[in-house]
Amino acid sequence: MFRATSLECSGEAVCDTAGGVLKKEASKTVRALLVELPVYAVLVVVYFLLVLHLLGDWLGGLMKTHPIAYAGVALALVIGQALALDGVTSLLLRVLRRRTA
Amino acid sequence: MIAMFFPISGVEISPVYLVIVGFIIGVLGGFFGVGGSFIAGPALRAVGLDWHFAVGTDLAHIVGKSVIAARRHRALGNVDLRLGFIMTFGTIGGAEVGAQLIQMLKRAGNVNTVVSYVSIAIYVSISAFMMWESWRTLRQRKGRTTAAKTAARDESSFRHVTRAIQRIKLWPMIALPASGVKAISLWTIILVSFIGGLFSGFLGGGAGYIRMPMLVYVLGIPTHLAVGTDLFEIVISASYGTFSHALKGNVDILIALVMHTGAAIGAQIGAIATQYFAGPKIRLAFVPLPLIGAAIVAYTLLTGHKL
Repeated sequence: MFRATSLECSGEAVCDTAGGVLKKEASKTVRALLVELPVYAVLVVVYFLLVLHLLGDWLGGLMKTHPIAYAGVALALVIGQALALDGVTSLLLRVLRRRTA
Repeated sequence: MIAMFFPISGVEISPVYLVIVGFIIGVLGGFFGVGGSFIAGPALRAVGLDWHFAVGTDLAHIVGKSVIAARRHRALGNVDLRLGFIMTFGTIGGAEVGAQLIQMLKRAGNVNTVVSYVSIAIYVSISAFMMWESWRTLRQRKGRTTAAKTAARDESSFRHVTRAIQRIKLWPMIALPASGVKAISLWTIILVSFIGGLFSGFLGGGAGYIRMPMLVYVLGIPTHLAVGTDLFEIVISASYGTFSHALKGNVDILIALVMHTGAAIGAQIGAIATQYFAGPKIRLAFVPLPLIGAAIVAYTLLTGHKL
């Protein structure tokens, strides 16, 4: 994961030495993000079709019959997806940054 | 656009639309530490989702987005965990009181009018104050040398009030070393978090629009840390809200999960972007956000149409 090399420099338009490093890092990150977007989009479409499509009816039934279980599952799903996607996006970004470097 | 059927709420919505909305809210959340409910709620209602589903689903989506953004900020050293855990008590207490106030107003039959006027007043006040403060701070910075600017890169024109609040000796006093606060009354922190939770329960969403400014101006937390710690609090208040709304059948978790796929990448971009801006600039850029919320509520009040 990208980390700014000099916080002292952030926010200033021109910052000779550390600022130069920061700008180079930033452009690398932006390039990697641009490559990451289409890769991520493909993964998301596959995810929609495979997982969410299959889960729909089961979750609908659970909400009507066991609301407490549904509330727990809903929270677990959203936090679980957050952690999983965070891992995927970080991994993609790291791999792409290494390739575009 | 291809529409996808969501069996829980019984609506057909384009997943592309949901992903784009999630992405925009993700960027805003990662950068400003807000949940983005003032955009997500109207965006969901605009595609035909019932009001109660819009509120509950928005909260569920906020949980996922804030988990990512808070983790990002934690990695950047922008979360004061000690402060965050202390604030949890006030946040949950405030959220419950806010929800009870809504129930009272519902019984009195004027919930929409009261909530609308209160939210407009709050949104406009926050924007006006932050614009005044950050503009003044940036003007003061102009005349200084680069070294002086670097030394005080997160200064605030409101600092004298913050210092006066920090001097209130109401036992127990605690230190927040991660935020550079040597001593502050525990009750001040609880009060700030209680107010944040109260607005979260009363107006919906994570209430980052009020908690983030209070962390900076009342507790004296540096802006970058305030953004990260606020996100941590939003995870807690929104999780509590999601569970409570899901029990009442107000959450379509599938819509939240689809929105969240966009927010995941947006939050990452927003969090990275904070590293390129000084505190007063982040605060100045924050100004239009509550105004957008106020404009949406005013439109709904004046026209009777829900956005």
